[in-house]
Amino acid sequence: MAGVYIHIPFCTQKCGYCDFYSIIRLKDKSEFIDALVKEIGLRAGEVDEKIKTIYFGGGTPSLLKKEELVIIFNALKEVYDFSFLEEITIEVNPDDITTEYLGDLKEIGFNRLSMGIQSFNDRILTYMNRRHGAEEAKIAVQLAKIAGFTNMSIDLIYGIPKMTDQEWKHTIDTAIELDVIHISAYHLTFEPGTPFYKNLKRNIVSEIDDKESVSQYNTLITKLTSAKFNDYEISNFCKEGFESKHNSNYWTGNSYVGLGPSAHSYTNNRRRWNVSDLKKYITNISQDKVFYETETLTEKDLYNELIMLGLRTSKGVYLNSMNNFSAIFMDEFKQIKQKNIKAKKLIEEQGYLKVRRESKFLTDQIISDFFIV
Amino acid sequence: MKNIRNFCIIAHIDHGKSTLADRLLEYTSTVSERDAQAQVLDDMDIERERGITIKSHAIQMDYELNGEQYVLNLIDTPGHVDFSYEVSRSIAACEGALLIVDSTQGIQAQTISNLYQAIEHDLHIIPVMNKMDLPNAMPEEVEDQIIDLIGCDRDEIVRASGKTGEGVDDILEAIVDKVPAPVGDNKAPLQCLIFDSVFNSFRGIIAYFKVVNGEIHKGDLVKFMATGKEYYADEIGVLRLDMEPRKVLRTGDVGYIISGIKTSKEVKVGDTITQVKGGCDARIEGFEEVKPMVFAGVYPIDSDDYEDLRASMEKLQLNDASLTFEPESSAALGFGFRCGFLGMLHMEIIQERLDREFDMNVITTVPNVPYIVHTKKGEELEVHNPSGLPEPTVVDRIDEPYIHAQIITKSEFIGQVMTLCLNKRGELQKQHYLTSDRVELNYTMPLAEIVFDFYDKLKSISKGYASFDYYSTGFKQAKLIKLDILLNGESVDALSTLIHFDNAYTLGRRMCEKLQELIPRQQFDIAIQAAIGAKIIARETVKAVRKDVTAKCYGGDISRKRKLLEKQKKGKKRMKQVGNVEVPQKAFLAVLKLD
Ligand SMILES: Nc1nc2c(ncn2[C@@H]2O[C@H](COP(=O)(O)OP(=O)(O)O)[C@@H](O)[C@H]2O)c(=O)[nH]1
Ligand code: SF4
Ligand SMILES: [Mg+2]
Repeated sequence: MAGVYIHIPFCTQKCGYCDFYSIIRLKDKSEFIDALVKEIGLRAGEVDEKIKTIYFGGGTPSLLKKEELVIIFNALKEVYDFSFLEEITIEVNPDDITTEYLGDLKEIGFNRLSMGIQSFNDRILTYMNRRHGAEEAKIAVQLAKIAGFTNMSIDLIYGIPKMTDQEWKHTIDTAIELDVIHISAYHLTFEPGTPFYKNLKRNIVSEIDDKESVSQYNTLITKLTSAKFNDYEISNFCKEGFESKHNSNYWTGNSYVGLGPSAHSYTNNRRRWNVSDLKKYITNISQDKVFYETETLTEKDLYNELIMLGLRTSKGVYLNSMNNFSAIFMDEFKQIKQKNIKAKKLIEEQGYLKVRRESKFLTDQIISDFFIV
Repeated sequence: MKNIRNFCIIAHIDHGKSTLADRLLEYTSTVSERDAQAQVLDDMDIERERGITIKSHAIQMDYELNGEQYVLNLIDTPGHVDFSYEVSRSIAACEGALLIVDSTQGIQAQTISNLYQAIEHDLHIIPVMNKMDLPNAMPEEVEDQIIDLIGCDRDEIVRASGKTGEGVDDILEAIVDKVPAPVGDNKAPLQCLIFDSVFNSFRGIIAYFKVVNGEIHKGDLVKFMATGKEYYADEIGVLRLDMEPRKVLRTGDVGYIISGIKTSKEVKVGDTITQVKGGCDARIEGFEEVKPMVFAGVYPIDSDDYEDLRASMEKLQLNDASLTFEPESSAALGFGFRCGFLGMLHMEIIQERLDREFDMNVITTVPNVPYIVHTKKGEELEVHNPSGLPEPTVVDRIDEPYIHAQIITKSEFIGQVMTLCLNKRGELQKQHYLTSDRVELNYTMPLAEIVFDFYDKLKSISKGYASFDYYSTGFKQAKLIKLDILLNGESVDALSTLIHFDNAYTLGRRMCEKLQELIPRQQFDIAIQAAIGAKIIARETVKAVRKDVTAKCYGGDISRKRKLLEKQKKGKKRMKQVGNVEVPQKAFLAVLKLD
């Protein structure tokens, strides 16, 4: 069963590290919604209409008012059969959260929140140009729980220059105390085009030492494991049974339809991505012009992706799924597999091949070792 | 014969040799304007792209002056010091030379050394100031330089422009009036001077020559004297825009011969062609076997490509006799070849041609000059590879090749240029002001120092204004030692260099620093050490990667992530595994890229 992703390309200010497509001019919001509604209609029939998950991401979807969300929802209902829906997520910003808004979200049908918090330390929040404070974030989480959003995830970031171990521990501890059931914790990356990246290139900041990265990751794992979280993917942790169904869908190679500017889709071995430009998105859709690019995956691409996505999850690559590839791929796979098992980086367990915990931080290297280029 | 004029052009790169040559061809209607693609003479892609002539060419023009028909042969010479022997043979085939000087630039070093050669061969020099159309031309000043250099009268200097055509007629008239007709005896036994050869995949080797004495007929049985080999002159002819066959070529003529020769090794520039029956006794003077002066290891990145590489080198050698190669093996790089080149440009050209024409991905090791090792037992060995050096205990002394270098610079840079030369072990021989702000410096210097980044440095300290030329002067004893590089304790033969003792410590330290920059971090620490014998003189570490994972892989943007990792893998595939360390191609040339 497929997933649907909707990209809301607005933020009220840009965070220093962020390279997601969003703009801070909210003027075009209604035109955007019109275009989005039109795209939803255009894309009917692309996947099986019995969808399992819907995910509103961004940008900052919580900048949309109830009525605006309703318009989008109605458009989706026209096209998809909602009776099999299991998870409907919206990303929210802590300072958009009010009891009233939470009620609206519930009423519309959302059953899961993903809250971008990043840190429970004001100094770091300011450094990253976040628009909320630590206290506000805590209150937002509590309000959400009161409103009945038990299924809630929060995002955290580590590996931030000049963040002390103490500050990182404090952030993790706070998250645990707040008793959320899902945490996505990302190591900061310097993405081209972001203010952070520019500062890196101008030597105003430098990346933290590998050793510190590893130690912060280990702190995270240790703390979350003792708080009964499973690390089901490199950056994702949850209490038993609360894996993000929508994201898991990406990693297991299932279909998804991405709507809105910059959104990605995957259907029938074809990847598609919409333009990362709201103006073009709106004009091209209204003038019935092409507003996306596509790529059809070759056997080599599929092979590389299966390994890439599989090895990032704690379950690993399902070995039987490899049998569908041609012999040359299989031979290469077996050889690299053996080599990495011998080097104690990978382990084979119950039909799955997975990265050992000690080597998790080298996952990219291990993946690219398997790649056929 | 009295209506033949053979001439060459002496010019510094970019002073307008090719452009003016094109004008001459146009004005003599050798090429119609429609056919004229820019720079008729440079026909290899690399020549056009780099704007330098690598092979000699020749082209014949018809020209009428005062009711007389003349045949003008332009012999275009290579434009780089690496090919100075070919230049000297082309000059030897001429009676006159156009000295082209860019009127906005003035005289440069390369102009001078070629000019001296031309004067030595008694060529009549026609001075031409080119680019007169440019507003920043400085004709008076450049005229002063020319007069100072060749002692001509001011009014003999032709003011010209390859762009507007100004002065082109004057040049043609001067060639007829001033350049002497070839001398020689049409009745004497045949003597042809080979000044270059080209390879043609259908016809084999085509040799270019000038008939110095006698006559050559189609079908003659001829002998190439240096090799002693005999051939039938299957086809002879003159070089117009295309080759035009002739029945006979006489004394003074410039032409080509096709005689079924398959490899360029049999046709040596400077050799003499004569008749087998009734031929001459003596070769034309000045023949030399060209010897490679720069050696480097060339290895396939993928060891399976060794045989393909051999085949490619053999093909390259077909049309480039100055390329030499012999099999060699390296503990670090596996099987490859030790190649000899005329100079650094020649080496680059070969590397580029391997890549372009044969799609061969190779690693080139640090180049070195040939050394002569005298052992204690009194033997003499020529060594082309630092790792081929005998044990220090048996070595009595080592000689290295020296050059005479000529540098012309603006006087404001003289201090920096002298410091550079001093650092390169140069000894100043002569210093001479060409004009108040241009100075010519003459140095003797080890060739090895030129091989390492000399030219680039000279260019950068003089902001591009200094020019440089050199010729070999033989071997001299030097205090040389072998500097080894170790990766994780293992000496990497392909990174060893022979260097002067005084530079060893600095170079060792800088090599380590550079390699630290070039070798990517891997899964373990990598110790990089420089050593002389058992003594470690410098050390750097490439820290292990402990983190290689990008957290983000969401929003469904999976293609981008996959492509990033594919790139990572591709980069890895271009590296050479040395022991357990992955070393990128460019690290093997690290020593050339210091600073
Ligand atoms: N303005 C001007 N440019 C010229 C003239 N002759 C050559 N050039 C330009 O100078 C550059 C070098 O000329 P080229 O003939 O390739 O020089 P070569 O390296 O000596 O063969 C080219 O860009 C030419 O177009 C000239 O008389 N006037
Ligand atoms: S991190 Fe979220 S809130 Fe910040 S700029 Fe990016 S999309 Fe907007
Ligand atoms: Mg040229």
